[in-house]
Amino acid sequence: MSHPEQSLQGRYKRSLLYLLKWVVLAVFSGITGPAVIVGMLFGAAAADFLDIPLFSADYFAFVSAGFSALLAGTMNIPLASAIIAVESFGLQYGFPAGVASIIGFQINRFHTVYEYSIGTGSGSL
Amino acid sequence: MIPEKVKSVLENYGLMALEFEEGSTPTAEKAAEKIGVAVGQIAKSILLKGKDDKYRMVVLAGDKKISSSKIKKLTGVKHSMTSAEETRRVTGFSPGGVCPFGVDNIEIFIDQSLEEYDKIYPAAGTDATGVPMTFEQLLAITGGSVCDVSS
Repeated sequence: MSHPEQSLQGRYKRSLLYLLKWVVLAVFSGITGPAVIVGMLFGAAAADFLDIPLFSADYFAFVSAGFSALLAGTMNIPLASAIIAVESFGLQYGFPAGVASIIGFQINRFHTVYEYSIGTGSGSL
Repeated sequence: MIPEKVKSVLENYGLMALEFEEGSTPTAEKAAEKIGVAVGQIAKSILLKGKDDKYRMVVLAGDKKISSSKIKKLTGVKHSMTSAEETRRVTGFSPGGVCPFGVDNIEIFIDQSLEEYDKIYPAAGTDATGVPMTFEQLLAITGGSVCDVSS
C-alpha cells in the first residue's frame, strides 16, 4: 500500500485528468462526441433523480436512452443512433435506446446540426 | 455445487438448500418460477460499494428495488452497484448466486420487505439453489440489521 498522502495526490491527479478528458472531448471531438456525452449525462441525471442505484442495469438503460436520444435528435439519425447505442451498451439495452431515439428524433426532426436535412425543405417528411 | 463455506454455515443451522439444474435460478423471477413461490419470497442479495470504499450487502425481496437515496440516508454515503468481477472477488460468488452466508467483513442490511413472508428463499452461492428459511433465521445467521432500503 502506498502512503496515504501519496494516494491522495494520485487521486487528485486522476480526477484532474478525468476532468481534462471530458473538456478535451467536448471541445475537440466535433458533434458526435459532445452530443453523446451530454446525452449520457442527461440519462444519468434522470436515473439519479428517479432514485436508481448507480451502475445497476436500470441505470445503464437510462444512460443508453440518453445517449441515443440526443444523438438521434441532433443529427437526425434515429436508426443509426439506436444501433450505436446497442453496440456500445449491449443488446439488452436495445429497447430503451430504440424508443428514446425515436422520441428524440420526433422532437427535434426539423432542426439539425447540418445545413440540409430531410425535415427542412418543402415536401419534407 | 454449493461452496464449502456456505455449506458449513447452513449445516450449523440445520438448513438444507434446494438444488436445481445449473443456471436455472439466476434471477428472482426464474427462481420463483422454479421453486413455485411468489417473486417476493426470493431474497436477492446485492453487493454495493460505498464512496468510503466499504462493501455492503443488501438482502431484499425479489420484487423490490433498491432506493439509492434510502441507502444514502442510512449509511451516510453514496453507493454504486459492483461489477460482476468485483462481486466475484469480494464475495466469492458469481452474480445470480450471491448470498449473505459465509461472507466476512461485509456489513449486511436486511430489508423489511422480507418480513411479511413466512418462508423466504435466499441463494446458496450458486445460480441454481435456494434455501428455505424464515426471516428470523436469516437475521440470526447473517447477523444483519433490519432496515428500509427498498422502493
